[in-house]
Amino acid sequence: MPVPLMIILGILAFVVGIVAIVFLVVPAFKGIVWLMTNLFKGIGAVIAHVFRFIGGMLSDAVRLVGTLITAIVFVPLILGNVVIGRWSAASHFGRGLQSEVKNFGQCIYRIALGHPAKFLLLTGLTEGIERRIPDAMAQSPGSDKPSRRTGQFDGYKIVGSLAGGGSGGRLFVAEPDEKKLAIFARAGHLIDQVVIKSFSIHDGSSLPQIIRESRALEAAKKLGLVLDHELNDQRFFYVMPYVPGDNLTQVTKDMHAATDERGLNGRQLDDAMTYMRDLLKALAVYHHGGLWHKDVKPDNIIVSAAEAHLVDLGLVTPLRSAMTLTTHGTEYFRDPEMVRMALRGAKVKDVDGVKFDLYGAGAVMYAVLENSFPAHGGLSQFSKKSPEALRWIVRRSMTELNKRYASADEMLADLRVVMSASDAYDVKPADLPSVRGGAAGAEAVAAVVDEIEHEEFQFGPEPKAAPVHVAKAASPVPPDAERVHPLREGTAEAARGVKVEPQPEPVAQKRVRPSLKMTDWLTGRYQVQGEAEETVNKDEIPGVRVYGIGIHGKEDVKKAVDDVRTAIGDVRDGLRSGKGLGESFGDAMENFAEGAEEAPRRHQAVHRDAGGATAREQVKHARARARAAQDRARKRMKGRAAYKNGPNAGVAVAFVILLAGVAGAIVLVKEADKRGSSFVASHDDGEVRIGFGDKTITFNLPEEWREQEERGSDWDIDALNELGAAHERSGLWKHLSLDDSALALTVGEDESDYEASAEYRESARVGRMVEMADARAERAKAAAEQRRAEQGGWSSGYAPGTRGSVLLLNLLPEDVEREHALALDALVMQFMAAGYEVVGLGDSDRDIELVARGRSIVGVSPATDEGAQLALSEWLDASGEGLKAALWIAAGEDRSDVDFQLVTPRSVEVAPFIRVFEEAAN
Amino acid sequence: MLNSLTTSFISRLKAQDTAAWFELWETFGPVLRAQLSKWGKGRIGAETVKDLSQETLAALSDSIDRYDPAKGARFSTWLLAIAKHTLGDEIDRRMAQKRGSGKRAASLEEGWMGESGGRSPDGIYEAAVFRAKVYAAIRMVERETDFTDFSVYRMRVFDGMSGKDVASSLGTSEPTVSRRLTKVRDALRSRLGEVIATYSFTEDELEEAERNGLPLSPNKGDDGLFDDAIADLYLKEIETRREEEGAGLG
Repeated sequence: MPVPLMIILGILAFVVGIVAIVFLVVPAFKGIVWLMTNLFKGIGAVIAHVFRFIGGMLSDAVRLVGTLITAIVFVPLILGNVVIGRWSAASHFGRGLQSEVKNFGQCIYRIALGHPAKFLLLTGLTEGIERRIPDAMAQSPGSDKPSRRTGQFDGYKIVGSLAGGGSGGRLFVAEPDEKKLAIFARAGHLIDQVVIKSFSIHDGSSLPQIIRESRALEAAKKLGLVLDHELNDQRFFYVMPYVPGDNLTQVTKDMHAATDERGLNGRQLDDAMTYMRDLLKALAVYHHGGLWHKDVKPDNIIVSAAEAHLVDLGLVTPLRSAMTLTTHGTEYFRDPEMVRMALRGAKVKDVDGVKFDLYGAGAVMYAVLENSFPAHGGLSQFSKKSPEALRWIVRRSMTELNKRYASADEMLADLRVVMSASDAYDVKPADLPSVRGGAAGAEAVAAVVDEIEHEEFQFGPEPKAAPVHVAKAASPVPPDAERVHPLREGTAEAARGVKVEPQPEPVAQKRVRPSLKMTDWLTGRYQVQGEAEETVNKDEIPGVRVYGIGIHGKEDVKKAVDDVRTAIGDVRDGLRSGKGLGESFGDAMENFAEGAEEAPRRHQAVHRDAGGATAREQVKHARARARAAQDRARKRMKGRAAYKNGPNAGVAVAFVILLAGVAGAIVLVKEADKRGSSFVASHDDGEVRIGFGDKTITFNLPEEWREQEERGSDWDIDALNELGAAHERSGLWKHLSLDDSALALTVGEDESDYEASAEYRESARVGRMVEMADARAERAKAAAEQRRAEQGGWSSGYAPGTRGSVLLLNLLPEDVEREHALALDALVMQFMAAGYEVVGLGDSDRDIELVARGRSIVGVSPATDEGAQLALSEWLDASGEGLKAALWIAAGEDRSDVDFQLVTPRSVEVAPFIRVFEEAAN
Repeated sequence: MLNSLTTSFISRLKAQDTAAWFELWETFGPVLRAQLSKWGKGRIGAETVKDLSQETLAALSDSIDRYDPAKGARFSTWLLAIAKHTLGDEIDRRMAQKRGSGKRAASLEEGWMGESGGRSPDGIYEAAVFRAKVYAAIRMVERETDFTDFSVYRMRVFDGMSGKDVASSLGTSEPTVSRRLTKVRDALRSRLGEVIATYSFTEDELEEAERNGLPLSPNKGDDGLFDDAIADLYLKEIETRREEEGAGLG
């Protein structure tokens, strides 16, 4: 191949190579880089996910422990309050404990389902102690009873108390008595429980506090916010309907806890808007009634049965008040502009209190959406997800005064639009009536106003119209009734059937301050100027009017007089028949009314209303309306939980924990007692002391054991202790004695006891003792079996103790020869085997006493002294202890000898005892 | 050299104008509280910090006419010096109450200042003072402008919504949004200039806005930068105050 061609081919190959690199290698490299990048990204994402999971698990585990600690802290608070009788406080802390239990369950749930959470979130460990407990303690109610100085509240039974807040008053939950209930029911308030807010100078309330609380009282009563009140020299209190439930702060926390951290959504958002709607309705009622709440904040909104209720009348002020504006309120929920105005000394009537309430409402809405307070007023930033339209409403209500909503109705109209949407997030600010403006906006606001006016509000039957209705109710005269004065019956006008013109319905007029003009300085006569003169007929008695019957002519007068006479007669008859005055009068009036009803048409009912209804029909309608109002009230009250200050689940849990603790402590003490104090084994210089409870046995260590000890072999005290404790538990330990060469332990007297002793062979030293005891027992058992085989059972066929008692008077010295002691043991065993109870072996009171008395009789006489024997015999006879014999054992003249002397009463045969002696000798 | 706005404001303060006081309190109260809290950490509580910040402002009004422009001190430095003296007085008082404690009364050069590490006005403090001025200007504009106009600015700049979204949300056109935005921006520029002039004693302070990306003269090309800087400062201020309030200094 020619060189040029090769060069050309080489160049071509180079170019192709370059092209290949460009078109193949580079994309491949890019692909590899892309793959690697995504691979690492994927690995990173997986690692991050795993770490999130682990972090979440750790966090929940720590919170779980913190919740447990918090719950344990609650227990003494509950118990302490139960002990001092503060049921409300105990119930309150019980609810706190319930909350902790709920948190515990949530943690378990999250751990079980592996919710991801932040890694190493250690705050969960202490959040209960740092926040929830202080909060709960700060809000805990006071005493359930008013102090003696405050006194009781007539007509009310106190059933609990609530946290007082910062107004200086004390809040009690009470149940009205029947009379009060009837009064409230007549006013349209069907309630079972009320809250009494009490201020007492003696309890630290100040006069300014009392004045501030009382200044809007009358207006609040008209709105149905206040049911009753009393003011005297010592105290002031007023009564409000009781609304149970949590405040909106707590409800907001719960709502946000139930959602993710991004913000409210779904049901929680719907609930939040519902609460806001209720708040705005309440404010609208206040404002329509001429009141300014002045302290709108989440803590003053109680959520009960899914409804929000605005409470706390502490700062309620008439909008038209002439008082100087104060800065009272709560920071972050109080418009700073109000503070500026107050600092300038503005009067309440010169500011627009409605707008300040709306600022508070906007701040509350912000707090609900953000679970935080609006620290920057209208400039507060939203950090959580929330519908743009709601943000607009919040900002509009918290902006400058002149740009703010003019009324709660306007704000409510905007909120209604958001609430009516299927998804609140779809609503734009442009959809709100306040933004749309024009006729549509005005119509929406008008609809809200109309609803507020016609809807029976929670606080009272007809709040807005209340002042008007009160005015009407105060007038005893139906508006359109034709009136005839009763005492004009006998006058010429009455006789002619003159119909008196109805007096005009009192019309609310601007009151003119009357002035006095002296007309006669001498007599002091004066004339009132500027006041409409009332023309009073000489015959007319002001304030007493009978209406409803038109009287025409003399016959009518006569008939009327007869009717009255008949009625008086009815009253007399009633009194004669033993009825009370009230009952008699009632019956008479009924008859009188019936007579009037049945009277000819000339007795026409003339007091018809505008619709032409008679008085009876009006009363009927009024009753129907009252019943309807009561039904509505009942419906509204249905579902509301009553105030409960009795033990709740939290209190029960606390008591369970207490009982468990006490039981555990008892078990521990008993165990310690068994191990420590009930059994003590010690030895000192060859003397061993073993104690079981109140029993102690002391003995000398056998010689060979002493030698072992001297050689360095441990005398196993621990093992002995264990042995004793085990015996104490089993109840098998009966007797401890010295055997020929070593310590022997007898653990019982029948076969089952001996078998049970086998379990103590674990320890070498103790095991040896048990073995020896077992061996001894085996020997005794074999001997007994042999005897039974020879004699067909126990000697004489008696079980021990069934043949009577024998007193053992063992007067041998302690250093008695061992064989004598063994002989004595054998004799005693034989007596027992023969069916006798041997008295004097044990340390019971009876044993000790009888031995002591026996010793006193025999004194220091030798056992062979017949005089002493006779005296002992006589004493046995006369003792009444049922002693069959006395086994008198004493050292002989030679200390190596022992005298065994059996003494019996005269009435007892000696022969059976001789047989026993013989068997013992065998 | 004090400008006319500053002297006017000082006159109002000296005339016991409560509105002027409230304005001063609203604007620099948080900055003072943060700085005093930083210095007195562990020694004075939140309530004392509030009291001292008020005393600082009272001292400011008493001594502002004695300010010597020849020294060239910045407003922020001067404010800080007064705050230091106020805190020093408080520490003196406390030491005097503890006779025999073995410590001399504190002074400006004493070691108690060293605990905070803030012996001189540092960058954080300067930034906080400047942010306070910007925040005050925003607040003034929010009060003065039309609610919808400011809402447009808020949604567009602070909430970061696009012009299209804002227009859709308010049921208006994008040009309208742009027009309203410009209106508020211009008002903000104007107010910012006034606030900075009122609370600035030196040329350096007067130029602070430009240095922080807030050109006060209207320029179409700078609008975006201006808005971004405003949003950044506003959000930072909100965050800082939220932290202070969380620490009980609100």
